[in-house]
Amino acid sequence: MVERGLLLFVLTFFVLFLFFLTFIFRQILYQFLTILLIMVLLGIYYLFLNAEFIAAIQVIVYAGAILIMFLFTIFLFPEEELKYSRDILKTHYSSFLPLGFFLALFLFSLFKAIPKSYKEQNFYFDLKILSKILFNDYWITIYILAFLLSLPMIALYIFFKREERSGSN
Amino acid sequence: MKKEIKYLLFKDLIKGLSITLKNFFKTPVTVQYPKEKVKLYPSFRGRHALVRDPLTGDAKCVACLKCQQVCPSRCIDINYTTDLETGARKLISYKIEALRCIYCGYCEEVCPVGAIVLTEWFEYSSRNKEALIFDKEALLKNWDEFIHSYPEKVYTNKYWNLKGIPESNKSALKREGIYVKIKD
Amino acid sequence: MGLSNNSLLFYLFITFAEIMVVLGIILLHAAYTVYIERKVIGRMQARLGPMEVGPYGLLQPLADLIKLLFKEDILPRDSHKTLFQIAPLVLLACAIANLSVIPFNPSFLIADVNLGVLVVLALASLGVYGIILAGYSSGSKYSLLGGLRSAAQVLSYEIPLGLSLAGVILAAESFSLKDIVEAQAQSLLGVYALPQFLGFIVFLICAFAETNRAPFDLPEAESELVAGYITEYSGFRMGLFFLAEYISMYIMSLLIALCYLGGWSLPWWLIALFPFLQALPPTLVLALKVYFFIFLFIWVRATFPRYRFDQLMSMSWKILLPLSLINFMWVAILKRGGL
Repeated sequence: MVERGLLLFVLTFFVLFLFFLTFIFRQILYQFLTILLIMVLLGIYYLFLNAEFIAAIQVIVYAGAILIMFLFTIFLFPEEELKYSRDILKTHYSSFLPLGFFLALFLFSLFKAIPKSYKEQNFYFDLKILSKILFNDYWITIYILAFLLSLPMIALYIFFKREERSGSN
Repeated sequence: MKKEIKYLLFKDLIKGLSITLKNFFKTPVTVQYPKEKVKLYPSFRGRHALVRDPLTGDAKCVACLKCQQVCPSRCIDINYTTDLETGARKLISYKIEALRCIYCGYCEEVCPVGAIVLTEWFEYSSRNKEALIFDKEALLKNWDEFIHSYPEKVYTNKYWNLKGIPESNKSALKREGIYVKIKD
Repeated sequence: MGLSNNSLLFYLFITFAEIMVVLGIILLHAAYTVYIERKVIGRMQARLGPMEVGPYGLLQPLADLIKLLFKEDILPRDSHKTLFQIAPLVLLACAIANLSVIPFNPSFLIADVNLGVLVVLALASLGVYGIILAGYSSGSKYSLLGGLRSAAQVLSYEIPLGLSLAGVILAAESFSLKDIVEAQAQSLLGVYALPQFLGFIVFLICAFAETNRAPFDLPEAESELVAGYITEYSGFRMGLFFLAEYISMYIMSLLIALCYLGGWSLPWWLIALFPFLQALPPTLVLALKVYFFIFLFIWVRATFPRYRFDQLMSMSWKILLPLSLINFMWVAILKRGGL
């Protein structure tokens, strides 16, 4: 399991690196992109925990849907905000030194700890069991949920239909 | 409600798709020009030429200036001299600017002797402007080039012998019909 | 220790070889789909299509490739240089990565992930960033509008797409594409397209919208936005966008074929009617289904005019989303009934 441990180490390094880049970049778009990468890498973390479903959902929901809303908001910013970087932090890079030291220590201890503590777990995310529970024990809840979800759609349809009719009259 | 049912059955979409599918199995109308050529019909009007009379070896033109007068784009320019004794005209120069010509065919139609013809030769584009202003020699050469590969023995043009014109309005030659004998 | 290292290397080598095979085949297919598209659209408009390069124009893709490679690579002055260069790669990588979870045959599959469908959905949602960043980084208003349109379109069509796939997942009780095909072959009708007809139609329409193809090609609407997010791109970078589009066309066709038409298996009633069909190799069966959908993509492009943007949005939210929910409930009822 040395390979997996090593991969985890590299992954952690990348996540922390991107985390610092988020502060170092002065352009809002690049900051956004680092957050996006962190979100994708977090999905890979879930894969290491044998939670594939949560990993996929993490990427779909957080990286795919929510962050794109942020991107839309960023596009609404005035152009000067996006283009010109303000070099406030350049003189204060020295404040990162203790942080960097701490980080190196942390990574070192992590690397030392991995081969001993990391073991492959036997359980996998089992969809069959989950769906059996959901659709046998809680099927009423699922049905009600599906019905409730479709209700606003029907209401919207009727609403727009009426608006269309009144508009045409 | 009826509209919604139609919408749900994709009636319009399937109709549109079937039209394109029908077209898919049709033979294409494209002609791949340099490799294959379009079939030319008898009234095709292409490069200008002056008919070389097989008897005299010169142009048939009598310098009546009818073509010059009838030309809508005024691209024909003719110079002639008059024989003082007989009053017969003699052609000195005959010039057609093919760049201005609109290929209406009036000149062919009006010519009393069938001297000018718009041949079925259409591949004569040029980068050189002078090459498209034909003088008498060039026009006679055009005729030779055209007739060299003409498959039949006798050449006649549809506009020389137009139907439906009263006989009294036609010249004497035209009443009989103008034919040019190429080969024996 | 040495043995495990060796086996790891061997495993990596085998995976690498598999990736090369799949990538080679898909790139060849993508190149020739461009040729077939031009040819088919030409014939549908009573033209001949490409005829000059090679016999029947068969070498046209090669000529296109050479042309794209030798064109000038232009970096616009107002662009974000790095993002401008990365954006097409993001899109292409997200399109190609989908191939890793798609089974081409009962035994050939690059990565046997038990969440194949979700991986495809996740990569589709990441691919949007390629488009939107290309639109933004070009520094041109046409590109920006094209990118924004595309992002809005892909986002709103991803929801009915996912929900219609949820019906398949519920019926097959698995997220893995291989299990879905196997469950499908054992189901009552042999294909999911028949009992889940609504889901099939919704998925088909969403597939057109997801790949930004006609009649949903608003991001690259020529008449309004020049070429949408591709406006400022030239040379091989533009070629990468086209490659990504054609590969995602294949991904969507493969998904439809696997999830709704039984993949490499044929329904029992078809075999009962024509017993000789059993002799077909499974990969060929899948390929035929995929080719049909590719033809459908091209056929639809030759037929339908483009939707207006408000029509596009209202179609997604007011028609497809309720339909996919109804389909989901219908599948749940079927499942409850023991079918």
